[in-house]
Formats: sequence, structure tokens, C-alpha cells
Amino acid sequence: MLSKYLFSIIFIISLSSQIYAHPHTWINLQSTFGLNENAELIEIKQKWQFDEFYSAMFIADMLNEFGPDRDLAFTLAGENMVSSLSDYQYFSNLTVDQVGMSIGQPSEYLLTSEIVDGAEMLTMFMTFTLASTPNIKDTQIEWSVFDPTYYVAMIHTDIENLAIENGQNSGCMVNMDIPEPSQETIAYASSLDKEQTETQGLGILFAEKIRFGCL
Amino acid sequence: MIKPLLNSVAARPISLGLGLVSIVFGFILLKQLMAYWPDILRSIIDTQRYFHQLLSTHIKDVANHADTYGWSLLGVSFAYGVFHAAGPGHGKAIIVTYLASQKESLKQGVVISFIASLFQSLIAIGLITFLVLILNLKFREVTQTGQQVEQIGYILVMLLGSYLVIKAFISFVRSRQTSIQSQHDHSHEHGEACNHSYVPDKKLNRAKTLGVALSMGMRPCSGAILVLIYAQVINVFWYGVLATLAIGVGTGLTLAILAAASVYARDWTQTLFQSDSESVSHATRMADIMGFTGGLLLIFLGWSLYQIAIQVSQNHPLL
Repeated sequence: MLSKYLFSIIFIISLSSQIYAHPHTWINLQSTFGLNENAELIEIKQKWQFDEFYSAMFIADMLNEFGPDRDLAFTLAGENMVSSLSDYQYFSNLTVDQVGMSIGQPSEYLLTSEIVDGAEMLTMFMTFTLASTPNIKDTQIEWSVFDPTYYVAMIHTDIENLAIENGQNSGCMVNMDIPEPSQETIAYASSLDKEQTETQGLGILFAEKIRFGCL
Repeated sequence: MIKPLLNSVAARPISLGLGLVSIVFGFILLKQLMAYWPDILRSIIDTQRYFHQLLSTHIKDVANHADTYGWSLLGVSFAYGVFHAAGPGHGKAIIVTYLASQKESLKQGVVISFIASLFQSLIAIGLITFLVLILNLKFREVTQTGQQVEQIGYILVMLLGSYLVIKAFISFVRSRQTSIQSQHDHSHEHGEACNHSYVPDKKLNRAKTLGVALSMGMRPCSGAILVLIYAQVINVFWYGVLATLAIGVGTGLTLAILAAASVYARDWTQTLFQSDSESVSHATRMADIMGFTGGLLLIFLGWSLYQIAIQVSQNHPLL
């Protein structure tokens, strides 16, 4: 009798356990890692290209608010975007030997648009100059860019969107791990959330992990 | 009263054996599915993204050549709806939990699925019409309002859960008080065709079904809002409205399939464990416990989804 109740209850629970937030906006990312002659990471350049829906909405609002001078509107909207992203560390996570390292504020940025297949895509360029410069051969560096809430899916998609600058002599390559969230990691991340409210959401499970492999 | 064959004494060991074999097979199947789950999840998300892009291209094409692309826009929107609902999230857990734990029929499940989905589309259309076309708000403010309405929707889900919990509790107390009486009544209604352990409930009236559907659909789909905004930006608002309705139908189809599956699965687990010796009062108690658990889960689901929605709407630099 008891087992029957238990079975039914487990049945209902297993049906209802599939809850995730899901993305409504996509950002295509490009990351370029700038090295110096000692194979130290000195800067990270990022390119964020928003999807067509978000771009259309953002640009229409922007022209409405700051227009009609497009260049001025992009400049003002870019300032707003960078300052609001600043509280979220630009959704960027850099770890050196598994210790988080701040990338600070972008030393340069530009909000603009690019035409892709006839559509105007909102595009943000940001350059982060690092305060301390870890050696990519001696340390284990990991880079990931994600929205914790997973409202926005941020993806490099392909290794082609990753590059090392001045890395010819370092013998290093950049690799990307595409996440494969399992039930266990999802459960783990959910339990993490209760203590660490800032990482609430499951975006971390779908975050790409970028590392360097050196000869 | 004629007994179904499976419930006769001779057939009991066979029935038990079949039940056990089904459980083992079910378990193996589940294990296999779990192994492929990450791949499945990823391909669903990729497909969603593909349709998302396809949709924006089609709306753009409609703006230029309405006659040529009108129909294909509807097709793409419908497909987007189907995959969007199949993907992670989308609160489909709410409807599945509700149907798996309550006594709704297959037909009611399908009706609830479609009404809830279409209502989601209508709310999105209403929001854009009112806020953008009449109040002239910024698009960004519309998506933010959409998020707030979504939160109200999750509160409604929690209320629905509370209602079900209270209802099951009251029924449980009553059935204990009048267990002999109810057993007697039941033997008259229970024909041979009815092999469900759920006692036939008083049919939910239409208003109540509608209420359940609306409380589940009282959330504008964020995807639909984006489509409408996009359509408005490129001056094809009415195609956006049509696309949104087609998304609603597509979402409804996926939900209806899930609803049917959960109604069947519910009845199947019930028959699996049903035995001849079982009295009707046990079945009633069983139904109450299922109803109670389902209600609790809906409260929990509503709360979790509410938390996620709050997180997005309060703390999102890009929203």
C-alpha cells in the first residue's frame, strides 16, 4: 500500500522536475586573447553580436530616445550598456588556477551595428586590459562568458570565434568545451543557488569553457 | 457486477508479472534516455535557435513580399511554437504536473493545453497593442512589463496549487468520515469499462476548466513579445499578430501531446497497481493523496518559476 503511494508521488515529482529558464535572446561571441612576448595574457577583446529581434528592438528604442543622429545615439546607448553591464562584470569570468580574476572595466568599447544577411545586428566591441598578466603556459586559465539567468544565451559556437594574438611563438592553442549539463550537474547547480544568490539560474550549466593548451 | 479479466484471481499473477516487466523495461528506457539527455537538450536548444533565426528572416521577407511569404511565415511560426514548447522551460511542467495529479480527462487536458497557449499569445498581443500602439511606451518597457505579467501568472499557478491542496485535504477528511457510504455509492457507478482506480469525479464544469487554463496561460510568451516588437519595428504588425497566433497553436499542440501522455501515464500507473482487493475508499484516498501532492508541486513550481522571473526582471542589464 505504502509503496503504491510512494510510486505515484515519485511519478509526479519526476514529471515536474524539468524546470529550466530558457533563452529568448542570443548573442554570438568572439574572444581574442592578446599575449605579450612572454606568453602572458595582457588583454581580452570581445565582440558581442546580438540577434535580429533584440537588435531591431534596441536600435528602434535607441533612435527614439537619442536620435535622430545615429552615431550620437550609438555612443550614448553604448555608454548606458557598458555601465549597466559593469555591475555584472560583463557576464565574463576569467579564472587563473581556478581563482577568479577581475577583468575590470573595458579600456575601449564601441557599440555599433553590422549588416549580416541584410539584417542590422547590434554589435558591441570591448577591450579589457588586464591588471595582472598571467602566463598562459604556467597557469591554468579558463574563460567563460554567460548570463547566469540564461535569459540570454551567449555562445562562441565555434572555435573559429576564438583567437590568440601574438601567440605564434608560444606554441599554445585555444580550446573550447561545449557543456553537457546532466541531471547531476543541474541538481548541483540548483543546490548551489540557495547559498549563492548571485549565481542563481542555470546559465552556468550551458556556459562554454575556454582553455589554453600549450605544447 | 462483471469483473474485468485481469482482475480475476487466475489472471492476477500474469498481471503482476506484466507489471514488473513493464517497470524493468521502463527503467532501462529511462536510463538510456538519461544517457542521451545532454545531447537531446542541446539539439532542442539548437533547433529552437534555428527557428528563432528563421522566424526573423521570414518576418523580414514578409515586409518586402507579403504575398509570397505570408503563408510560410505562418508555417515557420507554428513550427517555432512546437519546438519552443518542447524545449526546456516554458512552464510546461505546470500543465503536466496538474494533469498527472488531478482527475481531468484526456479531452479536458487537450482543451486546457490549447486554451492556455492561445491565451498566452493573446496576452502578448494585448500588451503590445496597449503599451506600444496606445501608450507609446518604449519596446524595452514592454518586455519588462511582460516579465511582470509573467510573475503574476506564476502567482496564479501557486494559488491554483493551494486550491488543489485544500480541495484534496477536505475530500480526504470527508471520505474518512463517510467511507462506508461512499463505497456503496460507488459500486453503482463503476461499470466494467472503468478500470481506472480514480473514482469518477464530478465533472469539472466548463468555467472551472477555463479558469485552470487561464491561470496557466496568464503569462505572455516572451518569444511572442519579441516577434511582435520586431514586426512593429519593420511595419508589418498584423503579420506579427498572425505569427503570434500560429506560435500559440504550435505551443498548444506540443502541450496537448504532453497532456495526453501524462493522462495516459497517470492511468497506466494506476491500473498497474490496482488489485481486486482494493476498496473504493482506498482509491479515493489514493486520488486525494495524488491531488494533494500535485497541488504542493504546483505551489513549488510556481514559486521556482517566479524566482527565476524575478531574477531576470530585476537584475538584467540587457532587459
